[in-house]
Amino acid sequence: MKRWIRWSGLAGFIVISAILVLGWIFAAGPIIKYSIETFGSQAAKAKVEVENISLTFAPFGIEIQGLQVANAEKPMENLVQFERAVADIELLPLLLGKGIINEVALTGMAFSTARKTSGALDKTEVSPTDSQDGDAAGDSNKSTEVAESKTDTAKEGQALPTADELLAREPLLTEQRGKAFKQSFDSIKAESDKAIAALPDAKALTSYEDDFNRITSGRFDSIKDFQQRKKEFDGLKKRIQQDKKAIDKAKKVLAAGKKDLQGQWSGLQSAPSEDFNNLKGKYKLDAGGVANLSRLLLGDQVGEWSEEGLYWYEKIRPFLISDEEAAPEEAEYVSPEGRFVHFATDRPLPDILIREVKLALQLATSETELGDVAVTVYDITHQQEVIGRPTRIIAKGNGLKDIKSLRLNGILDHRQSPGKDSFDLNIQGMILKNYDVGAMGLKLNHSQIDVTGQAELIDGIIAAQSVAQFTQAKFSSKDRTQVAVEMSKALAKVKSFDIKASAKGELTSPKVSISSDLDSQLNSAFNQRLKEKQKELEKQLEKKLNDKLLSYAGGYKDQLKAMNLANGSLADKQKKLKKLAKTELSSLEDQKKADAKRKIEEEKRKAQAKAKAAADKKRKQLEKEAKERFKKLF
Amino acid sequence: MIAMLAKLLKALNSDSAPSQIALAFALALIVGLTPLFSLHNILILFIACIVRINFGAFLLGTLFFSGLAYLIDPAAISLGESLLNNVSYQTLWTDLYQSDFWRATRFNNTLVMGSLIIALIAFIPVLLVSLWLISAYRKKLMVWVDKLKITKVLKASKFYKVYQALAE
Repeated sequence: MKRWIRWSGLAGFIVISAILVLGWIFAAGPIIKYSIETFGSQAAKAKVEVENISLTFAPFGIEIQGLQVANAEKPMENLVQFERAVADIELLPLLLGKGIINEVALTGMAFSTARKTSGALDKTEVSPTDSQDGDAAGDSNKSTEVAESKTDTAKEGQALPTADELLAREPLLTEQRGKAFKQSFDSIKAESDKAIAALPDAKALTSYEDDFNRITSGRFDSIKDFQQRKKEFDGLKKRIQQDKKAIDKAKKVLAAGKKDLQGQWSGLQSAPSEDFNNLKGKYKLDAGGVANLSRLLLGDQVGEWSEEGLYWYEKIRPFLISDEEAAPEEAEYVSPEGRFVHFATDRPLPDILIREVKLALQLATSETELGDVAVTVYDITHQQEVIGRPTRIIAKGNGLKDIKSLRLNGILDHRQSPGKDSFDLNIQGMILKNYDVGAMGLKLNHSQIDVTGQAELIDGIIAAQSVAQFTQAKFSSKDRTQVAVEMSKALAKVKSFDIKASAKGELTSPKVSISSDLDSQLNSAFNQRLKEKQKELEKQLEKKLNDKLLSYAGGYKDQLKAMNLANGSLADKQKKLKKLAKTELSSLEDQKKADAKRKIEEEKRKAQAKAKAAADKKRKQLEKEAKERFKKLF
Repeated sequence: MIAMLAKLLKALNSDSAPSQIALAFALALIVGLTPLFSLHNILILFIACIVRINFGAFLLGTLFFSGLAYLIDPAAISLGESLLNNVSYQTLWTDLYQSDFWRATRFNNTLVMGSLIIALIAFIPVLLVSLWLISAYRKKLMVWVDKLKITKVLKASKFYKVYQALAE
């Protein structure tokens, strides 16, 4: 037997095997570190740094220390980092080229931590695609700024606007019509002033009368005198005719201007009430307005949470699953290296499989740390159809500060196309303290919240809904304004309310809706206060709008009065001129006829007087005789 | 290559047991016919290292059978297909498939399965034939070859000097 055993061969085999194994052990760490840093940086578009990588042998695995993934959009910040990750790798499947990792334990994991050095890739490392992405990052920064400014605007919007703010931000009919009115008024005033200026004044009219009297009174001494007077009379009549025309024109100008101004004036007068109604409709402080209150007060917060959730979902998703469809097997083609025939098994081996990842996420608010949430992710692979199981995420937070229990279940099922990602969230007994509501100095001093939520993502379409049940609510307000005080009083009666949020549509731009029964609860309590506030605001608005109206109306009334007066005096003038114009200069024969007529009338008058005197004398004689006869009888 | 061939000839002409040379050929048959990077070949290599076989014969045999494998592979794949898809063996294969060790052997690969079966079936015949051929060579052929003129010419050649140097 001894003759058959070659001990030197055994030693050689052991030595060669040892050299190979040791070489691999020493080389593996740096090779894996290089691979993670190089390919990781390409994928993250920012520096991925690993402090150290070493192999472990009981069990066989790999230990990664101090991994930092920089944020491409904020180079001085890490997207994620962890202190230590230990992966338990199955050795035998490695011989088949399968990376089967039983468990990955992550410790000291943290998000959005500050970096000492910039995590931006060197320019030489940035490919054209990356630079485009860099631009995109720039754009995203811009969009972040825009989003921030929007947030600021939204925050500003949380304070109820004053009448001045409302009037300043809205296009007003009063202003539009007022400006138009002022323009028309100026032009009409100029035209009417011009027309009035062309009219004869009172002095001219008196002079016309004097001239008429002078020309028409007295006898014609001769034909020459008559002709002289006739010439003057015709000249005077011509001037009067011209003045009459000027008066007619002025009357027309004044009438048209008056009509135009009166039309615009009525439009301008109704503008404040139209503006007021528009503003009232837009900034309705009725039940509908209250319905917007919960969105106004809580919408931004819900929006921020949703955005953050989606941001991390999109970042993590590519590492958990792959949407690449498996290439169909070419059944007919027989490789010269043969093919693998697979059998039913409860341990199928995809190319890469991480059976279990355990990590502790640190939950924190801006003020305090809430504790750790234990996250376990099962079956991470891009070949779910091989293992026949979806990727599952379970996050549990027990014994958290201010949260009784937190549980998130996620299933990323991509065994069939299209894949379906679904999540269930359940938070019980979350204590919310001193939540600054934002408007009217309102603060939610204390409340207990239970949250349930579901989300489903299929082919880029999201359908999510959540209900947050607030109990033991206690509100307060530091503001001493009447609105804040009334609001506090109304909210004091509200001990529990819920907020329902839903998101539907494209994952990138879902339609988000938020509703709450807080609205209906507040509605009745707050309605009275709103009415008062409404009246107050309406009064302010009306006053402001009327002030605006008056500023545009200017001397319209005075001008109108002046126009009316001018119109009246024009009528007098016209009447006088008409009368004067009707006057005719009599001819010489007419004068003779008139003399004869006058003479006859004089004689007639004298005869009548004579007859009357004779009749009177006769009557007196008869009366005297009658008296004497009576005396004789008695 | 010359040195390797010389070693083989030395082995054939030396006092090395014919069985050691024949076993080297038989083991080379398995390594040569089956895909080189298979788990069972580590075992064969290990055996080749610790069992006193002629290593030169083993390496030469591996080269020879690897060449031969190109001709045999299609038949090996067909055999592997029929064996792995044979209903009678499904339970066996399924049981083996549950074990990472057996999967690491790539037994479910048609070429590995077919060529290994061919190699295992041919192992004993190759061993015996090699043994018989070596014995026959030493008893009859070596004497007869030594008498040949060509052998005398070859003994005067450079190749023979190398052979001699190695033989000492």
